[in-house]
Amino acid sequence: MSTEKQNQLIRQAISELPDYQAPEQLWPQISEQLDIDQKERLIQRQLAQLPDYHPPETVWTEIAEGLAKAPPKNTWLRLVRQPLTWAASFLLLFSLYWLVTQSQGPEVSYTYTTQAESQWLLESDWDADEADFAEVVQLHQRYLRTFDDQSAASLQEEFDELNTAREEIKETLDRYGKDQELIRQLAAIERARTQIVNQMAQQI
Amino acid sequence: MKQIFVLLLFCLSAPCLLIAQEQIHVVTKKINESYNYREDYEVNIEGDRAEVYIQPNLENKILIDIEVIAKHPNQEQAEKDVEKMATIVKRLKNKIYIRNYLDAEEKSEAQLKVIYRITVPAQCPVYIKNAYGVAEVDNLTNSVKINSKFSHVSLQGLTGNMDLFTRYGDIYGQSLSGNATIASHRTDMILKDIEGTYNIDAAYGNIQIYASAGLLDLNLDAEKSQVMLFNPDLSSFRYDLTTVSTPTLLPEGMDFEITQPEPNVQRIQYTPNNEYFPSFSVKVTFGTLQVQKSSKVKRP
Repeated sequence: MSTEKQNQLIRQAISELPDYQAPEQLWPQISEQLDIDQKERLIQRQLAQLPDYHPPETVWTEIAEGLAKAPPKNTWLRLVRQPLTWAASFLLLFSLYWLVTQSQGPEVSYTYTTQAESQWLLESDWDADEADFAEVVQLHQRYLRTFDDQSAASLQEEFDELNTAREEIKETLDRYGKDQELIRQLAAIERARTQIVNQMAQQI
Repeated sequence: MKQIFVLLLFCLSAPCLLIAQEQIHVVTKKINESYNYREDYEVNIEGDRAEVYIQPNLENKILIDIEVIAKHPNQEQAEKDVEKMATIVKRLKNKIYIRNYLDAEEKSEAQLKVIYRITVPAQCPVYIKNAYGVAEVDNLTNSVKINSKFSHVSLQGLTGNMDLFTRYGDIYGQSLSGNATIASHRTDMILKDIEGTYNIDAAYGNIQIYASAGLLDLNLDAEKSQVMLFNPDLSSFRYDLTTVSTPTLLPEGMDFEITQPEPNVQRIQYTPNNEYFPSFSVKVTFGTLQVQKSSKVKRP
């Protein structure tokens, strides 16, 4: 087949190919990219023409030493740039102030003196009549078992209540030491108990 | 001759008096604290074997002086025991707590007691709980509450609300004005020159009440107690008295209406002609009742 015929066949084949139109925006993009490539080539050429310069070794040593050290502290600058740090610092200072002002507590001091007191006044004699009291109460309880007497029963209750109060005072004397005021109160209870025991004795 | 005999007797007995007395070491631990007062503050005191004295001050402060006192013939023992009494002074929100106590297992060889001297602005409410001691409060104007056991309670010049709960001990109140509620058991009570409204529930006490012209209402329910009502102007009050098995002594010249709704129960009534009048409503059971015109009495 001659070359002319081949070309004809090729042209015919090409003409039978489907038509395709590139989008309009493609051409400006290609043109822009070609411009960039051209500038890049120009820069590369000019860079290749720049003279070489090597800094002395001491410069690198100083830079390395500088990197090894801690970075310079500019606390105020950092605080300004970091409001949270500010707030935390303020809170810490305020807490310290509060702790210092609150933890002072009351003032404590001591004094030492002597005084003359009549210790014999504090002697315990309040259990001396308990045996007699117990005898009357026992007889009164026997009376209560025999007779249904409401007033006698209330006497018994009152006596029990006074006994409880008496024990409270005695316990306080035991814990806080003997004291004339407490003994005065115990004496008042003893008088009330005596009155009740006398009433019981009359009922027996 | 008689003077010589007395002098001789004194000279002979003086050594005996000296022998009877013993030298006692007194160790006092003093604690001082103060707070700036705020309007909603109140003072809470819980004392044990304590004497509590509260006075008003003109400063806007709460001033607290505490003394823990230990007495013993041996100083070392007194020093040791004074530390056994724990004391607490602290503010929690609007309440100032003041407290002293011995731990449950602790005992003191020395004679131990605590004295509180506290001054507060007059309008500061005060609550005192105390046992085996004293509670004295003067000239406050707002609210005083006291819960005491085996203690002497003294109130003078108070106005406002008063709320007392006492077991044993005694109450002395003078120049009080306000609303008072008192529940007392085996507590002797003297109230003088009182104004306002009083509700009293008492048992086993010796009760003396001195009304003044400003008294509005007195409601008293007393069981097994001796009750004495003194009044400066007998006929200006309304009386509604109920007695159960209680001997009663009434003033002469008053036209009381007396009825007996039940055996051993007496109802005694009197209403003045005035449009407005104060009122005594009193019930006494198994005690004694006496009503009479005011006269001066001595403080116990």
